[in-house]
Amino acid sequence: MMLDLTETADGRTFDHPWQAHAFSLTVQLYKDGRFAWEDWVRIFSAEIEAAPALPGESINDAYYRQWVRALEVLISQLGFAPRDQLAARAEEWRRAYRNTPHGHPILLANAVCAPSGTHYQAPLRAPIAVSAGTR
Amino acid sequence: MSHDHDHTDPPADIELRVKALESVLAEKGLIDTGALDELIDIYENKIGPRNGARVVAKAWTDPDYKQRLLSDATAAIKELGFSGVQGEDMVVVENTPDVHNMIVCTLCSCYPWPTLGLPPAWFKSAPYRSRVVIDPRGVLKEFGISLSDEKEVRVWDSSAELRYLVLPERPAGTDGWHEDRLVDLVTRDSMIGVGFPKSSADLHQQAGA
Repeated sequence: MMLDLTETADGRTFDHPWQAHAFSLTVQLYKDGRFAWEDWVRIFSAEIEAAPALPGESINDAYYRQWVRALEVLISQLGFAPRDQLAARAEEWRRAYRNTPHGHPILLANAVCAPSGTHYQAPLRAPIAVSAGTR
Repeated sequence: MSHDHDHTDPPADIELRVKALESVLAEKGLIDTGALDELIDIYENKIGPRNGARVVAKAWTDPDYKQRLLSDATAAIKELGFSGVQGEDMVVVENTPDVHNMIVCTLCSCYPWPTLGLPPAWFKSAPYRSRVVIDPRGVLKEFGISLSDEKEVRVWDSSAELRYLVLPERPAGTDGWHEDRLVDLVTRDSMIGVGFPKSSADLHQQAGA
């Protein structure tokens, strides 16, 4: 297999902001002494071995896909958050996007309830429903 | 669709997973999201092979420094103010007329961040990681480098514990050059061992271009 010597288009370190975030999350935890780098390398290299690059996947996309999975494993092994909590949170974010009107900031709270304004109604100043009594 | 403005299309799954990690860790007080942006800025814009180039240029001009660099690279690099994550334990290997050194991380992508920045994509790729061990001369050819058969090629495997940096040979025709000028000759690839420093002629061409 020939080497792919292509550098990222504009010489930037990351192809996408999520890659930068996954990277810096890991580095911040490490700098705060939350884990030993050997442990990271053990988990990360096992993930690289287990989930190699897919056909057509760029080097950075494959690398950071492996990185993110390894970070999830590390976080759960450290007891910070189990994998199912992380998966549930990802789904919450998905709902938050769907509930947020285009152009508005995506807030996690929107997962449960769309932001006010999207279903804004003028105050009624009257009961919204009345069930007539028999008297 | 009539509801185009009522929602935002969710991004790719992996981006949602990263947001999940970030928000869960932030809630637990394990990370500080402001500091995250600072770290990203540092690794995107402030740390790079220019630091390593300074180390090399100093070693080329200051024999005492070179000695310190080859005997205790971590301390010698720190003298210039470069230290931190993935630079905790450094070893510098010197190229000579008889020996060419090159660096790999066969397991993942261990790399001396404080001196070289984050690794280029190919360094992280499976073909490089596996092939450099089996056929280092073939890999070098793909980088456009052919070495004489007489030259020994040594491949060094960086790991979680320690990372290597290649001290390339000083280009000919640079006698008497000041350190600051030599820095411009030192390329990232020459410090990984898959390239050579620029020649003085390259530099003149660049200036003229």
